[in-house]
Amino acid sequence: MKNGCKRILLLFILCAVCATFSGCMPEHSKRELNSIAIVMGLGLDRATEENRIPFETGKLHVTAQVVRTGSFPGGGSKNSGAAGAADAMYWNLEMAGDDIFPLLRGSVKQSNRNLYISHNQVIVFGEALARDGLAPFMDYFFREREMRYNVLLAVSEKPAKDLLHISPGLEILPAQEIAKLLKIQAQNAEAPTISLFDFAVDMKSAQKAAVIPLINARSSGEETETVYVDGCAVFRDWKMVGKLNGTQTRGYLWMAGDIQSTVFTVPVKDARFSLTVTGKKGKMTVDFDPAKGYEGLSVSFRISADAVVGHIDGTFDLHQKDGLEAIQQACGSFIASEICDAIDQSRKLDSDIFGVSEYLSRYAPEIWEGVQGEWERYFTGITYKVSVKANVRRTGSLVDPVLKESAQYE
Amino acid sequence: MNKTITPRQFAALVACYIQGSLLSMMYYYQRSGHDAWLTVLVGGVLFLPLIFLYCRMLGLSNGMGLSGMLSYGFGKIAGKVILLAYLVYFIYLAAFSLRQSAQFINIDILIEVPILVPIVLMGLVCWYGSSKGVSFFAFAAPVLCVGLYVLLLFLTAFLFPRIQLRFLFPVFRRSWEDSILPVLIPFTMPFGELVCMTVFMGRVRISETDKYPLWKSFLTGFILGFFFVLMVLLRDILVLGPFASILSYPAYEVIRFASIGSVITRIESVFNLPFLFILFFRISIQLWCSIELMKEIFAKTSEKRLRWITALLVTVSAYIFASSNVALLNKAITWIPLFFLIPQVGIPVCMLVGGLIRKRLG
Repeated sequence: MKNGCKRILLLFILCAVCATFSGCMPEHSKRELNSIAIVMGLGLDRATEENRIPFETGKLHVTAQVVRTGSFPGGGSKNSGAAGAADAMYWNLEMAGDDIFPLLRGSVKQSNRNLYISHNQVIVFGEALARDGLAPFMDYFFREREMRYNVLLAVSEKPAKDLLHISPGLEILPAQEIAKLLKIQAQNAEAPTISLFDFAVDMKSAQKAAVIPLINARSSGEETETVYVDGCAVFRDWKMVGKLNGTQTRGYLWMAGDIQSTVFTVPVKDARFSLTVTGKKGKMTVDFDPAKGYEGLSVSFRISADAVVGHIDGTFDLHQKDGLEAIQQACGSFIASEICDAIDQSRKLDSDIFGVSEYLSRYAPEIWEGVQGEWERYFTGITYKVSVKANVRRTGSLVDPVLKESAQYE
Repeated sequence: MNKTITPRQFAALVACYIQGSLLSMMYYYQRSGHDAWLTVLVGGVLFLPLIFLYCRMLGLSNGMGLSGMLSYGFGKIAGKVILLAYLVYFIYLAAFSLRQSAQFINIDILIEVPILVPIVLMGLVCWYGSSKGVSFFAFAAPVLCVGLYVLLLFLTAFLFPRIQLRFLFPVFRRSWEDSILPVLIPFTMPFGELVCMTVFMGRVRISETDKYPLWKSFLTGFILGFFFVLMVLLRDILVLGPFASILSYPAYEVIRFASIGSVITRIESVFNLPFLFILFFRISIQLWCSIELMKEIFAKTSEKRLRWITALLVTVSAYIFASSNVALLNKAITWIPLFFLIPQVGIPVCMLVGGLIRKRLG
């Protein structure tokens, strides 16, 4: 037994040497910390006259936000600063060319370190480029070993390059600020949080349309710009075809994903109720009437949501008969109206954001084979039924409203 | 040195051999997409009669290993010739597995070194493993088998939030004609490869009165390995969805999704070691079987020399096996399964028929 253990240990060590034997790495492929440029965010734009880089041509403009490790506290610098300053926390490398891989590899023309994208947190696509299509980049993102599949995606209405230059409000790097902003959207549900993998899976599922959150820069008065997230961009065949606004996005999210929490206000009798609502992913069923043929496809959405009363503006007697029922009904109607709004928008954009085509291809492949060829025609003819079951679970710290009458703002 | 193994150790050895076929999974996905689990299920069920075939032959040849079985089934001279064919097959199999493993190391671990480096290093380690003989395999197999199950459960727990049942649908929407080759791939790799266990069967202590000796151990080992492969496949399909069929090594790439409390991510490197260890174990078994046949055929040459020659043959063959990973893949999903059918099914069936005739004739 003892000898056996020794043998196993010895072989384990030999295997470890085999796997981690890095001494034979050639000089050019060494990955020491002081020989890599750690990328935290990537911005991809269509190259235009405005963002033209001297001596560089091509249809693609890439901005790679690199951390200046030496500028961090303890790294030799005392303060942060904007990009461009000698002691700034980050450096935005800009490159132009036709293909992303040679472009990123060619970054060594201006950076004395190789780009290292394992820690990349966000990829921002400029809207113009998104409308041209994202298919050319996806293969690289998945083939590149360093890339994380859970890196977050965003589409910016402004050029992506500009967003990566906006000074962060709370974080150290703009890319970090954007990534955290995208992650926290699950707590508001007016924009989705989409990773590279989620996006690609949706795009590879039958005729399903995918979404990516929309970000933009906005400034109030003379104050500096901040990044702002609202709504989402809709993609069909890897190309951006339109947008959903914040409420339409929430309408879509009721069906597409778990809503961690969202807040909205509904009028019930003389009062206005602000509710915090959570919802599990909705259930979809597709009904097919053989008598009507494929024209008679109808889709049913069933959603259940739990609400917590967050604020009552006005007078409302929660003890009255059907009091809670009225709130639940108003809440359900509100959610249903948002979903209908999202359905209308998806019809306008001719994009199957709810994944009816995916549902058919997976669970009713014989129907899918029949409609696949003329999916766009059948898609517009689909009838939808939405049923929402809302439950008020709690009323917060209060049962009755503080005010007897509605407070009027002047 | 103890040169026999117990039925329980034999069962673990069979299980480990199947567990070491994680790299072959990409072939199943290539041919069957998200239905890969179903083809493995069918391939596994189709393999079951072969277990009883090997055990019956073991009973007929009074507990002899492959060479004894061949001699019993085909006669001494023909048996030797067919043994030589098996030697070629085992060396080919070991070279194929070594190339697969080296390719994996080259693509995912040591990215920018020539493929010769992982081939030679892995070859050396496997030579060392095979030189330790059957007692090493007997000791290590139960530990490895259990360890790999623990790791699988551990990893699956971290991947659980990413599992999506929809990726399993639609289930098997292909014609029977289109299903034969996809089923043949898991049937021959790894289940059919278990023909190399017949070399070990001669080392297991068995009861001489049993008509199908060792069938319980063989079946237990097979079921253990089979469920491991099936669980890994299902997990990968449920996590990776459409990407399972385009990734180079889905069973390894899926680890990229595992995160422990959203803090510890990209833990692939932690799994490199057990991953490599089971690959090494499998190649060592194949190499050991080749050496055993070498010893039977070239009885006059010293064992040490034969061991070196076999290891060298396997290493060189692995290097020239394919020019790239795509060439290797194309071979593995087209003609290799068909070629493997001869030593895995064709010859054993003839051997049993020959053995039964001989028994009847007395």
